[in-house]
Amino acid sequence: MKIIKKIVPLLMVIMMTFSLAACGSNSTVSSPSSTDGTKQTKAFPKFQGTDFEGNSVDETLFSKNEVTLLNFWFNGCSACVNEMPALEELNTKLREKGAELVGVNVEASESDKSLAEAKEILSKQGATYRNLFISGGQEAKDYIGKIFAFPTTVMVDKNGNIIGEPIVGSIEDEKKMDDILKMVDDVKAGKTVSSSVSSEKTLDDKIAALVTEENNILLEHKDVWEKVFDHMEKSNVEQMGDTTYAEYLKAQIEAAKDSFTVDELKTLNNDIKRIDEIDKQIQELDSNKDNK
Amino acid sequence: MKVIGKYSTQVKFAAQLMLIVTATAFVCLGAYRGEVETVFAKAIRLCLECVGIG
Amino acid sequence: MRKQFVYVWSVSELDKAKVKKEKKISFKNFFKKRNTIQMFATLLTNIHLPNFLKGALYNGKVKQVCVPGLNCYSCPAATGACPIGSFQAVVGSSKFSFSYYITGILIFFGIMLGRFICGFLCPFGWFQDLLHKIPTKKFSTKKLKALRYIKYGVLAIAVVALPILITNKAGIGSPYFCKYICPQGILEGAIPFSLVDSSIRATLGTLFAWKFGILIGIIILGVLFYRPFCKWLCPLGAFYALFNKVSLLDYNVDKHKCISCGKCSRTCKMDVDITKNTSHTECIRCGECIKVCPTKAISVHWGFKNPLEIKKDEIINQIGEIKNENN
Repeated sequence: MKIIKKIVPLLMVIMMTFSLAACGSNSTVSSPSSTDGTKQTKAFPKFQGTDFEGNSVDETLFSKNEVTLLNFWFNGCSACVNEMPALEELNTKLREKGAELVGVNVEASESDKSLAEAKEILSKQGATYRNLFISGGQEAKDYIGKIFAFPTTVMVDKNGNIIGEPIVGSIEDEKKMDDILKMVDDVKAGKTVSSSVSSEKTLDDKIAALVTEENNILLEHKDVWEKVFDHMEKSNVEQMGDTTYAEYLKAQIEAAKDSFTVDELKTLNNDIKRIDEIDKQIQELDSNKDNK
Repeated sequence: MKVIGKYSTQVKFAAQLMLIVTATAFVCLGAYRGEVETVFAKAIRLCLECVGIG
Repeated sequence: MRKQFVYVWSVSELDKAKVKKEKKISFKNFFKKRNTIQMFATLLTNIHLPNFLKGALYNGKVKQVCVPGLNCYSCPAATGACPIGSFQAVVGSSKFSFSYYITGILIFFGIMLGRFICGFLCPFGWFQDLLHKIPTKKFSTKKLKALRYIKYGVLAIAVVALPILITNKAGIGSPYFCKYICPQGILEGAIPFSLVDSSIRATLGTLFAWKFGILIGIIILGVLFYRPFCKWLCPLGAFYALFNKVSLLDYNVDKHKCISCGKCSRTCKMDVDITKNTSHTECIRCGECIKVCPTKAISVHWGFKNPLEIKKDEIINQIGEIKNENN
């Protein structure tokens, strides 16, 4: 015990100092989404690659689809391999919308053995959607090198810009696949898509945040709004059914127009416009929730 | 009594040696088969479901 | 243990001398303490600490080797691969059905150190030790000895059998232990990553909830009992336990010095009576019994030859020589 107790801590100290010194030069990899704070549209970096049938591909493949879903996977990832039949189904649905699912194997570029293994896995799982590996383009290789969580799905529009955040984790379940299909529809319709697949919780959070914003607007000009509420007649409450909250408020203000100054009316109208917009957003999120 | 005592030490010694040799042989065989690449490929990439996320 | 004699000139010097002696001993002892060694071992096993803040994963060459303790490769700071995780990765892949590489490394660790690894080098073992330090009422596991066999089942079924036997059409099997049971993956991987990475946070689902529950359960049990995971669930501990008998690191009980007072077995938190079996499968070589033995009968040695046996042989030889001389 004496020997062990003497040597072990000494070894520990030596090894620790050695590895701490070497630590700085060690290679590490960080995820692209967590480090990037800006929400500007980023273009998917230019790359040269080869698909699994031997044809060379590059970033021009994005222009051939409305939306391209890049699904990053590797041979040892059991979750990625298990979701392949579901992805095959998703691809059929995407094709109908003019979009495509393309698998990107991050191991196949390293050796022929990995490529052969990847092909075997795909055929055994019945995946016929296109798969490729990226062999050229330093920026692209860096981007892929930064991905360390698998499976990761990145959506790219037809101009080669990345849409939203990378979707991390398997997208096997129905809910997530429907979300993706909806996002594709949104992109086709020209709407901006700002977030990735959201779970119930985050939607509730967003709705709650919007409601707080709305309340804050009313609080901003508390005195004026209090006057409005005082003037509201009880009978009008039943009329609310068809109109939005904003329209209802407008009607109330019209009815009590005389008790407000011109400035106060201006403020009230501006506030109503903002409330209206927020209401629209809340409605959209609500309908997203209901559709799940 | 002494003989039996020595015998069990000898058996233990033989087992220890044999296991060390087997261990070295296994490691070399495994490396030759290409298992090291598989271990490495899995270790540097986070397969989320494999760890219990998602 | 060397005895140090401190010379004093007067009675008042006595107190000063005692304090001085204690101070000197405590500094040296800090590095000899098991807790310190465990801390260093955990640090070495997870050396890339800045990755916790970056939300990154180390991907250098050292990850080709596995570490001796249970340390998930998904930990941002992890230096090497997890033995259990790597075993399942190789065995679950379509190319192999058994891992010689990992088994070889594990046999090597087992022969060299046996369950000393559990007692000194495993990060999750240290975690449980720290949990047990939390002052609450402690419960004994003496009557729960039957639960110890569960870990062998976990090893045989979840780690070995299931990834080999249950494969998808591509021949790939999931790592069942890592996926459904291992709490270390949540403690070291899922929690640190979801704190710094929003996309991983968004992915947490039912599987995470299940494993998080297991982690909380083990934490609670770890406060009340001593090392419940090591005793009842850890497949790595189960594997090393099989090697305690043939390991080069072994305990000795000098039968001539032992007075059978039973203090060692009362102190042992793994419910082992070292005087009955020095290479018991549950002994994690923590050394608590050595500290409390009143006659210093228990000792540890590393090597092929047992020093007590060598001493015995020498004495027998000497007696033999004396006999010859007399003749």
